[in-house]
Amino acid sequence: MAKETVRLRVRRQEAPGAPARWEEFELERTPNMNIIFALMQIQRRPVTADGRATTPVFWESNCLEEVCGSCSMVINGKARQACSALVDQLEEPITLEPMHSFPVVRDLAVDRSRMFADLMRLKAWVPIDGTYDLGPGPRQSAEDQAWRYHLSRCMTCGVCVEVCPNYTVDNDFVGAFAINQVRLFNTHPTGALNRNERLDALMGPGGIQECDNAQNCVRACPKEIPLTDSIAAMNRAVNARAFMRWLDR
Amino acid sequence: MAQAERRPEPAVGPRRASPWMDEFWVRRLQSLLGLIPIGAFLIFHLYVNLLATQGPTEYNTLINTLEHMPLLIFIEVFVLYLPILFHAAVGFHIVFTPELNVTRYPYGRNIHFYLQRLTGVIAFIFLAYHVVTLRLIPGLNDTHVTFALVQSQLRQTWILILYLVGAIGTIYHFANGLWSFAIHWGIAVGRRAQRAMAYVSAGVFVVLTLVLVRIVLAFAS
Repeated sequence: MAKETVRLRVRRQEAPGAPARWEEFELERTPNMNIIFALMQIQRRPVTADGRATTPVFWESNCLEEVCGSCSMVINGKARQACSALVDQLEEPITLEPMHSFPVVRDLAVDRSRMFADLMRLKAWVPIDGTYDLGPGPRQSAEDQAWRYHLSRCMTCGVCVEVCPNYTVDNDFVGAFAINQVRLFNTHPTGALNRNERLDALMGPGGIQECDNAQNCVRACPKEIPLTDSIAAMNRAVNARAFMRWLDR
Repeated sequence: MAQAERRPEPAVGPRRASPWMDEFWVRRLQSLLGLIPIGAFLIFHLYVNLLATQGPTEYNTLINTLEHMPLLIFIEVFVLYLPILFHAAVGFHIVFTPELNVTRYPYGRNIHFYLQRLTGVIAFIFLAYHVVTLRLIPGLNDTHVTFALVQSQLRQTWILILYLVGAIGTIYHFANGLWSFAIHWGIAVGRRAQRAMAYVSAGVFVVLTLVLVRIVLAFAS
């Protein structure tokens, strides 16, 4: 029943900006293998399906349990994590491409530093550092903790912005994950103290106004974060803030 | 490290889409104008034209009244032409920014996202034709728009097709835009509310399309 081998087509690129090419690999099939394991086989024996020696395919991965977000790539046309993509569930030849919304570093590895720069731009954290002890923060109800937990599962993997038509390499839209992070910290009892700073940044250049509700993000998010609810909730918050700021001026 | 070189700090101060308004307000105003006055006028316009079902005399009397409304040109320019041109100018920017991926991710909302862009362009072309042929040309020649004039146009097959495609596209653009409006303005936030809004906009699309078909039949018969 089970085939002995797996066929893989990988989009290769030597360096940022270098021309891309496709390479095919035929690998030994092992029980329950995932894409990471397939790539590790290529690393051990970098030979293409037609017997030519090549360089090992370069990729990023870390946790292997879909919590770190580093192995995002486009597998059979859909952006997802390579660690949770099981070979037996994929149509062959399995195509692997780097995500398109980020600059390619090499082969399947992309530079996601834009995501971290945008989290900084939106001040998506709770500032607690200072020169003296600020004491404990306010208590949160268990109910609030429970729904905010869903927002907090983001691993900055980039899948939501990869599938977003409005997030492109050459624009400055912040994307769904960042909008969700603003909601996470604005609903945190201590984080709420800096609520307006985040909202002002969120309606700045490349802000939430660039979202046009294609809603691919919520379909693609591997952590099932209610991204589109967060976007709509932040639309409401930003609009109220914008009107008040304008009327109070 | 390398990340600082690739992604420089965003420029200080808001980047402005125009000298007097930030991008945020441009996009929010564009969204608002789609509903008020443009969408509101669309409903009014379809309703008024439903009078064609009552016969040429009634229709011509009403058109004649409307043509003699006070401040008509002022209303036309400030309530219709300028809002539509603003909505369209920003709209064309929105149409050409995204990298459409509807074939890769053929999800329901993504298909609507694509259709919203497509029907925006269709609506613009159709409205340009509609305004030139039934407002500008009769206005310049100082002739009246009558039941017979509209009828003579709609009896030509290619104009009939243009009207059906153009007007149904425009109605779709408005109805789907209502859903989008509810999210842009933070009215429908939760998943259930967003789905309810999708049913509302589907209902608006069906009702207005039926009204349109009834109007076209009144002229074509």
